Amino acid sequence: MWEEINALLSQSWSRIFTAVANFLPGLLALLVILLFTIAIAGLVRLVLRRFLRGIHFDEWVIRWGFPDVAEWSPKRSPSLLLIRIASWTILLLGFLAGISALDAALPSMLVVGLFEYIPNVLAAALVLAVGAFASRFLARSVLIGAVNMKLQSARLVSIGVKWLVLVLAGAMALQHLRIGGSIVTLSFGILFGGIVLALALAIGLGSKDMVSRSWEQQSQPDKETEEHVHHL
Amino acid sequence: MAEVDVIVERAEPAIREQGTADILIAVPTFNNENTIGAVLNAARTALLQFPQRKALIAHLDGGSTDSTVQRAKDSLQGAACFAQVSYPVYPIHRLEVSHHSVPGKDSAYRTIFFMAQELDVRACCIVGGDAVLTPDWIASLVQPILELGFDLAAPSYQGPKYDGLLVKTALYPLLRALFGKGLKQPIGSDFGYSPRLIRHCLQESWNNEAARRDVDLWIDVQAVQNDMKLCQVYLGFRPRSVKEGGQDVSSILSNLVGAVYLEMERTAELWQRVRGSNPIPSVGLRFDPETDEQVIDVKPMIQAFRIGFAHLQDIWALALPPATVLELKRLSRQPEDQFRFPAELWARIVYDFAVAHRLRLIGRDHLLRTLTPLYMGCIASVILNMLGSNNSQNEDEIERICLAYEAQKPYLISRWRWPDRFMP
Repeated sequence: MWEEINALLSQSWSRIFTAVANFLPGLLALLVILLFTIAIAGLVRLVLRRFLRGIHFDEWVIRWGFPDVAEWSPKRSPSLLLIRIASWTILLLGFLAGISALDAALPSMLVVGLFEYIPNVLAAALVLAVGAFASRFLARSVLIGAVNMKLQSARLVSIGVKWLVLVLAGAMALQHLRIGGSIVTLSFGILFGGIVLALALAIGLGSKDMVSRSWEQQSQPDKETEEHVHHL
Repeated sequence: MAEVDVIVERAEPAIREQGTADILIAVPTFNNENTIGAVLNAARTALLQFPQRKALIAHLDGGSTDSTVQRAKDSLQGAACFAQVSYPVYPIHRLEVSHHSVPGKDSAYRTIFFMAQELDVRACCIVGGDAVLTPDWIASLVQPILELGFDLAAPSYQGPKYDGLLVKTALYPLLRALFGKGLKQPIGSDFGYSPRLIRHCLQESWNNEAARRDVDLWIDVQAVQNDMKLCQVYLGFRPRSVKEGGQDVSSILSNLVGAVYLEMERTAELWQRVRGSNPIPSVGLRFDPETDEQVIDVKPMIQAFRIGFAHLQDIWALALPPATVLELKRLSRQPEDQFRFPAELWARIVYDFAVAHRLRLIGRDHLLRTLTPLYMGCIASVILNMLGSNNSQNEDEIERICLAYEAQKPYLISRWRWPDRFMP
């Protein structure tokens, strides 16, 4: 009886040791790949930093007409943003390559799945980034335009536009990530439809006088003033 | 096809037919069927004052959709000294929101200058076809070029005291402080040019933002930069175009101030050496209009400034030093009857915006449009200062603003040179 138990246990132990022994080279390979990746990422960081500093990349980004990039970057430095994106991408790719080196079925499937999912993530990130930039740009444009039209609620309108674009971008990103499915489309449709309906009701029922007064002012801006003041 | 080739192709027949001329009077138009006939007749009458000179009256149309071209043809039917030329107008010219009376004004001027050079003229006069002018006006613009040796004859219009406040509070003082030349009307529709200035302008690249935004300003700066002889001609009251009015102040302001800022970048080495200013010789007889007091309600302007301060101070803070933002906060709390916008503060703001424009601290169009509420505050204060004043007092008020610009110029130079270090 004991001998059989001992034999079973020793077989189990030997299977475990064999599995661990089989796993160790993969782990070692993962560690080596990770170290190698970290070294590459560090090197890329160094080279990129020197290169971008050399060409005054931060100034060029602003001169090219993208001052918002600086506002969104860590320490207001687009170079730093670019360096971090590059190094984290290398680290992520290295980590995924390392996991595949483990030669285990589950991690390998995970890696394959992740690699297949990467285009969706990249597309979603791109949509979000463009949405974030567009929302800031449009919000500022609307704010300045509304202030120049002397609208007291300029800030409110601007924030409304900003969130509308952000929500739109978020919904598009979620669709790319295949999260939420039809719920996102449905809730987005309901949200937009609700806003439009609310505006239509507000104009049709409650604020028609205000709107007509507003249009009147638009068509004849500051009649008393503009009659006599020609700016040119 | 390059723009210059299009210009050559379109202007060549008129040049070949005429050969040479001493005087070129050019009238650019766009949908001016009601006024073009009178303007061309005035031009023909004006030429009677120069009987010994061979002249050409050129009508350049920017693609009018009314009967402007036909009416122009009818009014000078059979005249040997008349030519009709079309200049290149691109879709972008039609789409852009502009204060110009004709689309693609820079293309029109380039065509006129090309014709003037090819005809070897001794004086070129451009008059707008959008308002009925007297023959004296045209002759007055030609004479200083032809007989007194000036290179640029700028108009000096007389009009209601609240007219041209953008020119009086921003363009004239800014250009005067920068280049030291007191050109009171740097933009307009009626100018006289010498062959020397024309030749120089044609050698420069016209494919630039400043020329596209306002070609008058660009030519003025070219003339100043090359030390040419400038004069201003008293022309009296210029009737307003029927099409004028309802213009977006914000667009006009950003277009014109943006054009000066672009020229500031290009000529930074020059204007940093200039100190003080000199008056420009004036030609012609001056008739001051009677000062009939106009009733202007400045409350909407002050309100515009206050709304601007409430919502835009975050953006202003990117361009303006903290002390200036603090001062604006104080101004926004002033009662309407005591509202005064110090000229020195306004000058510093215009200079700070120039620095921010150069450094592209935020998008340039956004930056320039945020200047509108500040401008409204400034002109509200100017109007309040001018209430009940006569012509001489009005001029003193504008002179005070100009002197404030000149006094603050060292501030501009410091900020321009050391934008990070010099931030009071």
